[in-house]
Amino acid sequence: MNGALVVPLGRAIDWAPLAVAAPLAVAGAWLVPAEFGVAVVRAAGAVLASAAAFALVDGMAAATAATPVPRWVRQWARTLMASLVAGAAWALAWRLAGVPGVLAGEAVVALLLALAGAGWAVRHVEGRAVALAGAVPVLACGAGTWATPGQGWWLAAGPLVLVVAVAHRDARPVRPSRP
Amino acid sequence: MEPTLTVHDLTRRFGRRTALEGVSLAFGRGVTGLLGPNGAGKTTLIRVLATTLAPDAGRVAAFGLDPADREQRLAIRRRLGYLPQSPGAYPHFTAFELVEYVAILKEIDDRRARHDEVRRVLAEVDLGDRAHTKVRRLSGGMRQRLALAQALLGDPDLLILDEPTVGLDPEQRMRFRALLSRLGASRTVLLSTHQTEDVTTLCERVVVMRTGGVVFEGTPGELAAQAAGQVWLTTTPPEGTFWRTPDGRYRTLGHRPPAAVPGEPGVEDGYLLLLGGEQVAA
Amino acid sequence: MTLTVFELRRMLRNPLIWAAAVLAIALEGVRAAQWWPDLTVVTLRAVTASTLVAGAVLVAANLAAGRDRRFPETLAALPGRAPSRTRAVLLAAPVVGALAAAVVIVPLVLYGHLRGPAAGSLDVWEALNGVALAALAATVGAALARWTPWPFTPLLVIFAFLALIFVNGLGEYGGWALPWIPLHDPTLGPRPSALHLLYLLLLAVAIGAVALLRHGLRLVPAAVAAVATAIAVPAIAQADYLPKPPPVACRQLDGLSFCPRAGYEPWVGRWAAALRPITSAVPPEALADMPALRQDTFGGLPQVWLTGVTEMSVAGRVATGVAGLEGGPACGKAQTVVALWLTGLVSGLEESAPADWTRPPDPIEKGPGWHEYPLTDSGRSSVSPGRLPGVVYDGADLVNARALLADPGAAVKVRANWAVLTDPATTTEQAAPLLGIAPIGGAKACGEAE
Repeated sequence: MNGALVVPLGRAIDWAPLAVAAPLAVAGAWLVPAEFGVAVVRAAGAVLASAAAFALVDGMAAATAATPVPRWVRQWARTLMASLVAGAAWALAWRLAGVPGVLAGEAVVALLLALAGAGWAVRHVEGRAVALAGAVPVLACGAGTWATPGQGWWLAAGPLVLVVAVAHRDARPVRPSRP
Repeated sequence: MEPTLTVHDLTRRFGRRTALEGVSLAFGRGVTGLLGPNGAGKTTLIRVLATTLAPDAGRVAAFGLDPADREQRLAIRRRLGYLPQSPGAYPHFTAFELVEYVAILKEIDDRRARHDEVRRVLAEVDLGDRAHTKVRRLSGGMRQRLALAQALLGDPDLLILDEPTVGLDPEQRMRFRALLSRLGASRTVLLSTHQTEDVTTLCERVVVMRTGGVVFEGTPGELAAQAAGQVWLTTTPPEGTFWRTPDGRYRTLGHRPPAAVPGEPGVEDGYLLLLGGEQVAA
Repeated sequence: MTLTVFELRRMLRNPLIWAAAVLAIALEGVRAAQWWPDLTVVTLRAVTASTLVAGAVLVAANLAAGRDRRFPETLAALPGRAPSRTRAVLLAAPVVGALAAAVVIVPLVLYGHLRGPAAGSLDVWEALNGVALAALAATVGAALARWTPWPFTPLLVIFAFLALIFVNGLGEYGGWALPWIPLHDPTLGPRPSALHLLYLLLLAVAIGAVALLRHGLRLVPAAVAAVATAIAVPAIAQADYLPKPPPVACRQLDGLSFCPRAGYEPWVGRWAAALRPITSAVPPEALADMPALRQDTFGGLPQVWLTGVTEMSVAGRVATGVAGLEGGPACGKAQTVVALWLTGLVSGLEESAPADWTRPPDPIEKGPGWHEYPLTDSGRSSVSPGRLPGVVYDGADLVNARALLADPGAAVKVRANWAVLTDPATTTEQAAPLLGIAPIGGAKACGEAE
């Protein structure tokens, strides 16, 4: 990726959700009593993931669809930038709460779920509110599995990266021409 | 001369709806207008030609390259300028920043050359003095010109423009036509439009689409000729659909109303008759 | 009114709301199937599950009321003004939210009721709290759309709510002023559900009025917001648990005395059945000294029952009691092997002895041989090392107990030699001929990691 792309792409991202979620997650981990640390860090993972999903909304997706730099490069660049910020905020919250590192797998999966949900949605529908779709799998998965943190989450990370990659792929599926 | 862009037997469906069916066309140097009512398949065709949508069946070739192949698609995109129907924008960017962003995506890597190019295209669309204005502060017409500017980046050999004149004032429209006719002299320009006036004044060739298929292909004069003998002027309102002309007479298409005199057929008459046949005029 | 009907129809067709309803029913239905039906808990869990619908309704109402933000020019030029659009969403979304919540709660409660024998009591006011909660979420969604410009704010509210109810599950902070307290400690008495329902409804009205105040300070919405708040705040401030019902008589079954809480009498037969492998294996006189099993915090019988998990907790308690084991190191004793064997009759013995008998530092990953038992309902649990409460044993005891478990005639041998086997002075080595096993001894000191 062209290094010159990073700055405008970074500026094009809607950082507002992460700007709100990151301080909240960190403050929550810092302020709540230690006994609630695990729950707060888990909630921080979910909220930061849902906030990071807003980075995938591209207001100029149509205009830039036919440029030589493919869509997947732009979407992955957005993904990485948002993930770095969300990950840093989560790591800080985790450190402040002093909870076990085993929660990291769950946080990574929450992030990937949100990116997969939003990535799929922005592929099909325009508008900022579409990124709310990122929270849907996070909430749905969280509702079903809240009571079971553990290393098993890492197993889901691999397939989810593939789902995100499929969502980020070029708008035009490659299909050989028929003779 | 070898055509720049060809499509053969193109079909594209969205679920159960067929947007394109068996479309075969070839586009060479010059400006071609794509006319058609809403839902005719213009935008789908434009998207397929702009390499952003894959067809379900059929062949597409631009500069002899196949967009289905990743490398060849990339090569096409390097020579393509594309203005979609709803280009969108980042409101907090300045006009310069927005166009520069697209310039980076168009792989204009040298910073000085990129800035020169951004300034050039902004001047082309008469936005040179607005380069450092935030997009959110630009009027609708200015944003449309800004979108056009990004399509002109890199002096592309193939320009594909979907509804480019929407929101432009008459002066800008004239300026735009002059720009396109100049560009069309040395490259392939394809524009989808609802403005038959644009087609009349600008296009050497016109394609009319209806319900996913091509119903006419020829010069604007040939399209106008489709209405020969079917344009009528009356002094009293005739039956069916008609409109009042500036000289106080009534113009209608199709069967000759009583006491009507023949009128001069135009591109719009030919277009309307092609689309609606008797129904439009009756 | 026409606009309200339009919004109502749109909301009724909203896939997000109904997908959330289906998901809530599916997730909670699968979870509920693993628990003995307790209508008190079933109702609470059904309402907690319905918060998923409340979240979806919040987002849907937010998007509906936020249309003005997304299409400002088109809507601004219409004769129907923004307040009427807000009012339409405020009237339609709570109705659909309430309906969808009811669609979640009713089948889940019915499922609990039909699975019987159901204990606890069905509190209709409690169930209606879920319906009111969805209506409240709808008004919050509309108010957020009117007062905040970002589509992210509904998510923040949802996550804040979730964090609040999971972190603060018993309402330790905020008490009944919280929109929902998902957990219940039955020792505190019945919940003030009717008063909380009134509070939620008043809160919904007040927040709806606040949403309308975005269009200008008008008397009616301002007065409604003020009056609703003025009633809701003092009402909820005095909310407290209701008086506890009088205790019910204990019941003798299979030689054990079961003392349920009021409403849990239908479970006595199930408790006895769960313990029957033990009560039928030991001589009747061994049960005579067993203290009554009471359904309270330290009484041996939990408030809830998770199939496949809770059995071990109760079996451990009874096995320890009948074998005459006292707390502390008991490695290499015959009574330890017998007690472990008795628990194995109820829930297998395929586990290792705890390596560490002190409380594990990691609250998430318990060490091997540690067990987590639900205490009151699914949110609160106790964690304890080993399967015999307070008794320390080692891997050799487990191996010996497993050998006994593999012997189909073990029960006869144990009954015949009960007095010797449960004598604290008898070692496993000494009891081996009586039990018919080839015992192994522990490699390390009792309680030390192997």
